[in-house]
Amino acid sequence: MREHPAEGEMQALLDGELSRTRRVVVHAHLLRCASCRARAEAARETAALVHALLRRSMPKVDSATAWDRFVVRSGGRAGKEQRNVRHWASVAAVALATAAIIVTIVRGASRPGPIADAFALVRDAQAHPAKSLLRDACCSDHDGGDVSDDGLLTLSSVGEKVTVVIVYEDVDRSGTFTHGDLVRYVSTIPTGTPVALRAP
Amino acid sequence: MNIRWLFERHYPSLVRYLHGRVRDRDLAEDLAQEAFVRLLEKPPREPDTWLYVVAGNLARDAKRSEGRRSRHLGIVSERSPKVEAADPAPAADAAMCSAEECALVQDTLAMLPERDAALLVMRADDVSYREIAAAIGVAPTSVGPLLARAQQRFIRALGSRAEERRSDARASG
Repeated sequence: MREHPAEGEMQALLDGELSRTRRVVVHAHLLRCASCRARAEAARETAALVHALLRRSMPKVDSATAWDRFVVRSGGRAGKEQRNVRHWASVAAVALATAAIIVTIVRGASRPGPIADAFALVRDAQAHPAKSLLRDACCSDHDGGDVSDDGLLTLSSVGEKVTVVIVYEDVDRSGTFTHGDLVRYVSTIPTGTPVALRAP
Repeated sequence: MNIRWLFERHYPSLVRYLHGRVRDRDLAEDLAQEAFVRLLEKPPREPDTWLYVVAGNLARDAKRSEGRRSRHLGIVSERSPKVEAADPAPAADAAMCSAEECALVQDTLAMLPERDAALLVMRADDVSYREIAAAIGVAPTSVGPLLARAQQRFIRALGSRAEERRSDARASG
């Protein structure tokens, strides 16, 4: 890439919204262009400041109460739809659990990921935005508690190689991974090489 | 379609997006509920983006109705002062920032063009570029440049607004 990435492209990179191809190209450019690294850092600081100010000042919304009101307003249809979904979700959960047991048996043994300081990994990634891409997907219900408070954070290096996976519980309900959260799982793959499953 | 999941995922950001558009907390909640009722009635293929488009249309209709009502009452104003004055919700709800800071941020947002404010509010809620693009009627690839410019305008406007407040405080004190 000869030309410097445009302002909007830099923004999309920070937001994890750049297309795969462009992400690799822009990352590669940032590795060798000091002025663009400085621009990326300035853009990151601006975005972080705006994000923090807006998050803190936006009205809080009580979705639980709103849901109850919505069920009434929809004439009970919302509740009925949800019961149908729950039925199929439980069927899918049983199927997934069975599949997981089979995979574990086939692989012989599960391999736990190495223990790592999740916060240190994230701090390091934030300090070097040109080297690794941080994606924080919060919040969903990964652990089945019926509360959308679980986050999945990944760090990727150039070439879209995921090197770190962190699963956390958004205890402080900040909507992102912060020091108030509970780390449930951390796995690091320094090379980013995908783990291949053995054929049965 | 998992309506509960969609509700949990999008309702809060829809309300905040609508609040930025109509500046009335109760109306924003009402319109967000209406968007979900319509979703149930006729489920679209892509509910995530569809919700923001419908919410945007509902906000536009609500503002038109408000405009007509104001004209009937003989109030010459682009935005009804009654609505703004009757909405203390942002500062009251947001326990995380001081009332002064909340008011400053909300005032600054109100000074920006509507599209900039919508972009910033949705992005602060981690709404995807695809959904933002659908809501404001641009291509997803245009969201990055628009957002970058909106952030810079916001920071500049925030600085000016803060300076105005300091001058006012000095003048009155």
